[in-house]
Amino acid sequence: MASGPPGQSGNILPSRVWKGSLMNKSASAAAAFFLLLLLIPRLQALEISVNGAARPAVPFSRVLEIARPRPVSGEIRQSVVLEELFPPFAQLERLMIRGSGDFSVLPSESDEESIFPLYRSCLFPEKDGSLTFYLEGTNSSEPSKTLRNVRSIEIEGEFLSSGELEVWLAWEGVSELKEEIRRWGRLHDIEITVNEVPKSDSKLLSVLRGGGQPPDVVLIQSDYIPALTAAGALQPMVRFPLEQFAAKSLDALSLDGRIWAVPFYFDAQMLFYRTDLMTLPAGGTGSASGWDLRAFEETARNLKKRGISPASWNAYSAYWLVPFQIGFGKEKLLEENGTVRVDDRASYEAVTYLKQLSDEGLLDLRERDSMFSRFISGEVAMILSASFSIPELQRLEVPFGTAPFPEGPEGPLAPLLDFKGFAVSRKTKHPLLARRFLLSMSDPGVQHSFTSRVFKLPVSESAWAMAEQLNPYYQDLREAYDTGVPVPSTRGYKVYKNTMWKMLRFLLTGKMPVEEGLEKAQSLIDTQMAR
Amino acid sequence: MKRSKIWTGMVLPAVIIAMLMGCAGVQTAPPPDAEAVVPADSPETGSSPDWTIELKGMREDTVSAEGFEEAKVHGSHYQKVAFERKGEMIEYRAMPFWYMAAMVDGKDTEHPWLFDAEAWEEGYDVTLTAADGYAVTFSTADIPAGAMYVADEKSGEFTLPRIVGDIPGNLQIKDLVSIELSLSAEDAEEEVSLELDVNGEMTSFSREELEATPYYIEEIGSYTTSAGTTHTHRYGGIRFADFLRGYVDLQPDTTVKVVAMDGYSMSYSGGDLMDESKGTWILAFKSDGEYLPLDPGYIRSVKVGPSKPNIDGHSSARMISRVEVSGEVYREYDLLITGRMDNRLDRQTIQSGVSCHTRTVEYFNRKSGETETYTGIPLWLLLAYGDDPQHAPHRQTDKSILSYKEETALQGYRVEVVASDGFSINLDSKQLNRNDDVIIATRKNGETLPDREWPLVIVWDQNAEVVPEGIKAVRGITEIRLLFD
Repeated sequence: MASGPPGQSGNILPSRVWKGSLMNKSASAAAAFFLLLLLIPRLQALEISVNGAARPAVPFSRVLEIARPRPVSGEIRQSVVLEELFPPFAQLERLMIRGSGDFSVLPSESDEESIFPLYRSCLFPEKDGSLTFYLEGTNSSEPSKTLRNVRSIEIEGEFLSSGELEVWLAWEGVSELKEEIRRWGRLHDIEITVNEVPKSDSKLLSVLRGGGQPPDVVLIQSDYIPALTAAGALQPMVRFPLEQFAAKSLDALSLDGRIWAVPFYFDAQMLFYRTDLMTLPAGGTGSASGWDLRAFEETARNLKKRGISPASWNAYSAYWLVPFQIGFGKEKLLEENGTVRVDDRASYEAVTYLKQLSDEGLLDLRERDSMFSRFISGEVAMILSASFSIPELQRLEVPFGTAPFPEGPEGPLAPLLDFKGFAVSRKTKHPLLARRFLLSMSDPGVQHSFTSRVFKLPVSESAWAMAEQLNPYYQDLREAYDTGVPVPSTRGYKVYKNTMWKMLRFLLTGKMPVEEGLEKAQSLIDTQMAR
Repeated sequence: MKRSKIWTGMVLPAVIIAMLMGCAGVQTAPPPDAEAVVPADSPETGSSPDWTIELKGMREDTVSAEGFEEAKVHGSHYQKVAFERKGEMIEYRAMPFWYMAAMVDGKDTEHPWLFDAEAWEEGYDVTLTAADGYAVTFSTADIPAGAMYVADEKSGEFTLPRIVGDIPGNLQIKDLVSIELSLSAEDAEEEVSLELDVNGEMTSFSREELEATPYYIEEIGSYTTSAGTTHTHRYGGIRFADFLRGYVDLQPDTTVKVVAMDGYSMSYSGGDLMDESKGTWILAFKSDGEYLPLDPGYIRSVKVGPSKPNIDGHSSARMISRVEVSGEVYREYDLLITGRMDNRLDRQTIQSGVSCHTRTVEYFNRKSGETETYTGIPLWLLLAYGDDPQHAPHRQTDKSILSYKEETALQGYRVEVVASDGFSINLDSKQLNRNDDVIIATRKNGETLPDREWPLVIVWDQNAEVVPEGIKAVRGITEIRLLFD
């Protein structure tokens, strides 16, 4: 539900132009906390012993330096994950924490799982200069554990022999993500090469076809999965804990019962509007507010009367058709064969509706760049885009607000959720180190640190509590997650998308009747799926 | 390559037996350093679980539990070995890994499989995959051939096959189901398609779909290669501009880029494609009624029409796999190279050079403290356009004469790199000679250069062996002068 700027109340302008007041308050609080901690005399440095040999003690200031906020047991606390203090381990045999009492962590017999306690436990720097150890419990037989006044950590295990990784990234926030990854490399003394590689799916396939060395880890989106798995480019994410991730993120990155990437963040489709050209209806937005297609049309007609182009998006792309298909009654997006049916009533009504909007002059059909530049220049009042547009609009200081998609006649227009995750190359020489890296990237503190800077949502539900406090778009993104559907990872979805890209322009421009065109499209889809 | 099928229950055991008995025909690996290497005793009591390992390399094959059993009884290479693990010596019974590699590291399809020890030592990649999909790859150059084993018994009990040996722990895969060597020479048969990328929205067309569009025409056209050969045919293909207009608002300054299967790329302006005064640009996939083969096809850009137009070979891109249309405005530029010969290279010539001689470097930007990735062409290759009065790249029919004059570069001349604002640097040809780490770049981080560096910038790799004296990252380069003082 859209809400006003912080500090205001009631049904008011739902514009959400970021003023940064919440962020400023949190930053001030954190700074005061650190200053206080630095002024209080610290007790002692943390003694560390690895495989019986003493290592340099970790001063309290070092813990403060690398601590960051993360959700722990329902609270948000400055903390350091234990694994941040050590090089990566291949397997753990013994972990002993000594403080006001001794606590011995019993690692699993399985080599892969033996190291999990390092990633599930953290140290909190306290105001009195002491450290508190906390181990997150996994179930009733392994409850959480807290130990105060930690003095030393003794650890025995085998270090990983490999010391380098190559990671490919793409999309928004690359420089922020590079920074995060390089931090990990410095903490663990691992040489990590991070490259920005647009269209990494085709690049990865080219490298493999040419017999070259692929990266160890690559950030992918769900619709890369069919081609990459068919080519044997990825290995499934087995031997990796996935319980903490939002269910839809795991669905998005699964295919044939296996998960092919560790979820990291997602973008969601949203409605963007110019706050200098319009306001949204007084009831606000969201599923309970009356923000539906009728309200959207009324808003659009009022804009048109004022000589303003009401709305624009690339309706030729099936990426923007899916929400309308669902809002017009499609119960299940994917058929058994992984494709999307288009010759059904919901699709017919959705396409007909979009054509009517276009015929009435309420929807200007434009591809993405043209639509975006018109929105930036104030030539169009509303566009459909996704949260990945937010940083650029902010950078350009465009006065904009966001809103969830309106309600359709038979349910919400379900926005597509575009999940990104880290996949491990099947040909990596460092699969264990890659998994250690991904365990670190899965930490809610890391996810929040990145996503908060680029206005995305993390995929760890525990990190959402932090996002709620600090991300001004959280409510719309959260509503999008609740009502939305993940971009499918099936080959059939790609076939559907490619076919509709060719057909929709004929249907929306009136060159072919909608029913006939959808039947033809279904026939083309069926033919391709049968190959 | 078709998968060869072997009846593992019947033929394979006999083959393995013959392989093991035919030791004279097998190149043996260096003896391993394992502590205990003794001939195998009879198998312990109990039955081996059923399993299969798929082998893939220059050919494909499988090894099953049953075949393994036969080999153990009759062969001499099934061994008892012991390795330390977590401070404890553990005994295994195992076959040397290289036996399995030998089955697929060459094209020999029957025993005796020769183990290619030389290839192993030179190094190729081996990917081991476990039943749950977990996979690890190693280079054979890093592991002595005799150090690895495939074991099916641990401490006297049968197990699913696992890798053991005096090797790093992360290679000791349990429940092994696949061994894949990177020696495969397999070429998958490619389905010919054209991808259209309009501002990131991708779609794909088969040749049949393209032929079925209203944009398909057949007309005569030609292109002339740098060697002077003219290829004239009746080409069949889609009208390029009309095809694009179905998906994008094509303007004269729209940038249309074609990307080939081998990475070669060429850009056209919308204006070029829409100009039909000297013929029509098409994406051709047929020649004289037949589909174009990979070379000079499968899909090629060429001009056709009643006037039988003839274009420069480097403007006619072959093996096109993708057409990209972005919001980027097409801007023409050129580079003047002067010296003992003067040449003005247009954008397409430079782009063609970058495509053929692509070099990507990691440049350390001291101001930002960031490492940036630039792609372009080594500078020394461009010197060939001005280093002698007679020969320039792609402009001579006698290929035996190199257009780049290395001996002149080693004698030494100044290379002045000049920007549009007049700023220039002077470099020594001796330090540029065959120095691939110094490039004239056209792309940064995979994208067109930003405005402040456009159209060309000189950068060098942060790990360059030779960093020429006086080099700076000159932006907006318009001229390169070879000065023979």
